[in-house]
Amino acid sequence: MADVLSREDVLAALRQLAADLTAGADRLRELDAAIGDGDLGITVTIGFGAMCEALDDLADQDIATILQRSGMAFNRKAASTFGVLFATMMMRAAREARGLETLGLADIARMAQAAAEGVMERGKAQLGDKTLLDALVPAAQALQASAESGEALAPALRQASLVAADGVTATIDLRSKSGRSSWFADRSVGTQDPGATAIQMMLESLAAYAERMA
Amino acid sequence: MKKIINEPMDFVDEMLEGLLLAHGGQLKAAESDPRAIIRADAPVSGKVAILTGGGSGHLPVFLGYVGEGLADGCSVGNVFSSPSAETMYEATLATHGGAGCLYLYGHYSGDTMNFDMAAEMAAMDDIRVETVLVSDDVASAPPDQWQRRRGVGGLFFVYKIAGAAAAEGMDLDNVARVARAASQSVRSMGVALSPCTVPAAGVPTFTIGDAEMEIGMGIHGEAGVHRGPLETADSIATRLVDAVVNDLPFERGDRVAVLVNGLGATPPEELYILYRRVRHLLDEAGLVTYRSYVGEYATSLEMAGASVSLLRLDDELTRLLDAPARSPFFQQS
Repeated sequence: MADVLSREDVLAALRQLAADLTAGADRLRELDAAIGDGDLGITVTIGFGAMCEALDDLADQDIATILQRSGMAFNRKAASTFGVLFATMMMRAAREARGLETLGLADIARMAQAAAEGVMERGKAQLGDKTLLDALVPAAQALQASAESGEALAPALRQASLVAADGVTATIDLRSKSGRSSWFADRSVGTQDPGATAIQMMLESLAAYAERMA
Repeated sequence: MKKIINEPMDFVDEMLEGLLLAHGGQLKAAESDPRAIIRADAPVSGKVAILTGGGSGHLPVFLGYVGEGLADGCSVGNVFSSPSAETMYEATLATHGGAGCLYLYGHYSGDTMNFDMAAEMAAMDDIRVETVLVSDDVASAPPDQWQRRRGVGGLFFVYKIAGAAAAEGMDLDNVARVARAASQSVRSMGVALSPCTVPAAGVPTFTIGDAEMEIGMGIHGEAGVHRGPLETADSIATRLVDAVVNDLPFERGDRVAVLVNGLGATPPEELYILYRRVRHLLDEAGLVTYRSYVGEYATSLEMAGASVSLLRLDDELTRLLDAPARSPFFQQS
């Protein structure tokens, strides 16, 4: 069996990701209320709900269109900071997936890297600013390293999820430099970053999907 | 807080429905998106389209400045929260007249991210977009970092200038140039006397004592620079004018336009009492007041309070400020 995600896999993996993140919405809300404005839980619930509705209409589209439009659907209903950053990630990933009928590890690594660059550009944030980049950037690097060493898809995603979890843990001691939580910068020390946590949850969901596939 | 509403979740959509029923001759919603409000005659062929947007709760900001000699379209968000990139993109498609678009709005991170993304989507359709942000609230960052400041009442002046430039046929580079010139030349400072309540939240965004005021509070209740006992109108005017004049700084002999703006619950009478002292202070400082605007131009729901904005005018900005404009919320002939 080819070690790739098909169009159907992408649709199913996005549905699973939406379900997993919605199940974790309370946890995200609690983290965000501690250091931000507390709207991340509702953003995730509304946004992923809208994304699932959009997926129903995207069943016949190619992978790039599925990614682009489902990200836009999220942002349309939940245009908060996380909503626009999620849509940005999907849009940049979609650009890398243009014309592809399946996604291999090398494609996914390139998409993750493009997504991280999009977030840096859009949010004008860097690694270490206590944002979702602290999980996404090391995860993208891990995917790239796995692709170069010829790793299989499922273990590569698992490794990326573990690296992202380390990134989340490291945000506990960081002082927020970007976004709403930077207004409460000192209060932010001691709490893990909610955006980074959401990224880790997504990678966990994707890894679990790939493991079930394998 | 008592409000005349139905379901809090319907606040924005029912407001828009009423607005379009009342002013259908001047405004319409884009066919593709009910939250994209555009001029009834959009797209205006060959004219630079000016697009704005932001959260609801600040009327006439933002959509109140969609009209002739003003902006062409506005993406409308929920109360105090950014509209989506897609709504801004749909507003862009519905107003683009073949001469490019200027995105002109107040500096808030959620709006900036969504509108940058909309600009990126428009670029994929070969629509050229320039962006100018308004950052006039002197309370929100030091003078050497003025571009980090929030946009407040000074937005009105920049809409007026850029809208007139587009209406007289300037190309996109020049419309953006005069908008930047206006944005660099406008400064504002406000005072809040009472809080406001976001309908869906149901409780006030912040608290302030009955006998207190807060200088420099943001239009969503962001912390200001001074909280203390309520002072007289003359004393408040002095605080606001000093902060604004010393910031740019405005200098003796400068020609200026003045805006004394109510935040939602302060009556026009009080605004004129405030204007009276503001004008005395400007005269004493040797500033030449060319035009004055007094009323509600940028509000925060039912917040009580006011803001003072000053725009420094050169000959070009003066000509553009003088040009006619017409929207349901603002007319000048």
